[in-house]
Amino acid sequence: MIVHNRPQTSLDIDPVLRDQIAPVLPQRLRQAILSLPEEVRHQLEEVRIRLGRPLQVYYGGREAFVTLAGLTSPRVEDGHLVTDEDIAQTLNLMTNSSLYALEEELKRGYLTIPGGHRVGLAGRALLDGTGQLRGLKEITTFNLRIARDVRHAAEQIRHLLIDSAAYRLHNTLLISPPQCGKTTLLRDLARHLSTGTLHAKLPPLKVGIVDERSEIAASWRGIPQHDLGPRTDVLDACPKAEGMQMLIRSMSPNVLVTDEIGRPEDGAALLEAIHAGVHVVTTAHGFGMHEVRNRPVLRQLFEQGAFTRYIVLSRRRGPCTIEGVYDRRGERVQTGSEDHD
Amino acid sequence: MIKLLGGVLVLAASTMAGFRIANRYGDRPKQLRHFVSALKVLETEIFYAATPLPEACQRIASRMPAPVGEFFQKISDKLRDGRGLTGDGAWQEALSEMRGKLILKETDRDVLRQFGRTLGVSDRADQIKHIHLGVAHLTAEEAGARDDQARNEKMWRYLGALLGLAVLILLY
Repeated sequence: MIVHNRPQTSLDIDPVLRDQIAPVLPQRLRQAILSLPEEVRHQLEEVRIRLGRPLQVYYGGREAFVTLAGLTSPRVEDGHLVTDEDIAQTLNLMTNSSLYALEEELKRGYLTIPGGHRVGLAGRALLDGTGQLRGLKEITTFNLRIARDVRHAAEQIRHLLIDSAAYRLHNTLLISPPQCGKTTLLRDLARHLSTGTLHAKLPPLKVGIVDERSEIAASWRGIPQHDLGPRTDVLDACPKAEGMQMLIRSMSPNVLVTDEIGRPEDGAALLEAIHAGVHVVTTAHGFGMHEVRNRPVLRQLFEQGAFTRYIVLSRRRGPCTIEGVYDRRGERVQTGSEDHD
Repeated sequence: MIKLLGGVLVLAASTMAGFRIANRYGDRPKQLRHFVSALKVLETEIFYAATPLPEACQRIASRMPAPVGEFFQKISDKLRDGRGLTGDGAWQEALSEMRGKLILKETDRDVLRQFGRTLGVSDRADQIKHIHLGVAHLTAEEAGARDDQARNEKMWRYLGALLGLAVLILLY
């Protein structure tokens, strides 16, 4: 698969809003979002569009309701009430008026738009004869999450992934609650590994990414929307366990990168990869090491010594605050850069 | 001399009018056939490739001759113009804008309008069903149009000239 090396200026949000976000919003909402105060625009994380509810944005960890003129207010009644027409137009713009082209996406409940931004969907579930989820209809809620390709997000932790004795890459598990920037970190780490800039003594590596939820590479129609380095292969929207085996067979990666390990088959596939001599860098939802020791799949990996490095993150001091670094046996490693309270 | 010239003009005009009417009888089945082919291309695009409507219509437009191709080009353009039209909205707008160029009867338009309502709003299996239905209706219309053509096309070719002659005889 070809990885697009698209130079992306991550700091300037306005072109992103204008060229990627605005085209999927109906005229009036577009106007509102583009005229948000500068402070809000620059930290914009989520735009919430719910039928019959006020338009809402999340930015820099805060929330506000938005009027049609783009003014923000903490009061619910000030926000523009989203109409049927807003919802219908949003859906058409986001799906290219072609619901049939998005059956998989509707089953998963989200879709990716150009630029790699993620749109979460909710509405009425549609079940097939056996009670399996077949998709969504009467979609009434959108959660537009602005993807930011933050370069050097992994600056603080990149040295933690290197075994300083042998200059080898640690098999690493990043643990954090949602919204702490795990995926952003993973993306930057993958890019560093692929370009060979992670560490001076570590050569560039072939990186294989299994991107089950299209989040790391944010592929749109199979094309990664983020720059992930020149030696990276992305398997988009593939179940992790199968994807890892497939990549090992087909792409001979040095490092496998995936996110959100949780199912038993993910654990088995990870172990297999490690036994095959492939390094892994992955993430799990959680708040600390006790979860690694207690959740079935993670515990098994822990007991088998699959990971040689655990990095626990939180949002205490902004995204990617390092809470602790642990070794294979789960013991705290002094790193010098972490903060102690 | 002037009388002769006038006579020739009357004859030429009425013959041309006859041919134009005859051609309309020939164009209707041709355009219906093109619509049927277009829907079949759309079926392939939707079923095998799940191509989104704007691209699918663009591809159809590049394969189909003028009025039908232009119709699909319009739909593609409308879907991309940022107004957030539904497939239906774009289809009906294009249909009314192309009114003059599509030589269709009201029944043909009804079939097309009906088909447009379902465009893009359901899953693939459902889209295919609607396309099949549309193709069946259009094929029926086409058969009717061919009958009309057989009955009327030749007649109007002659009728124009004959009416011109009749006028000439009356004038002389």
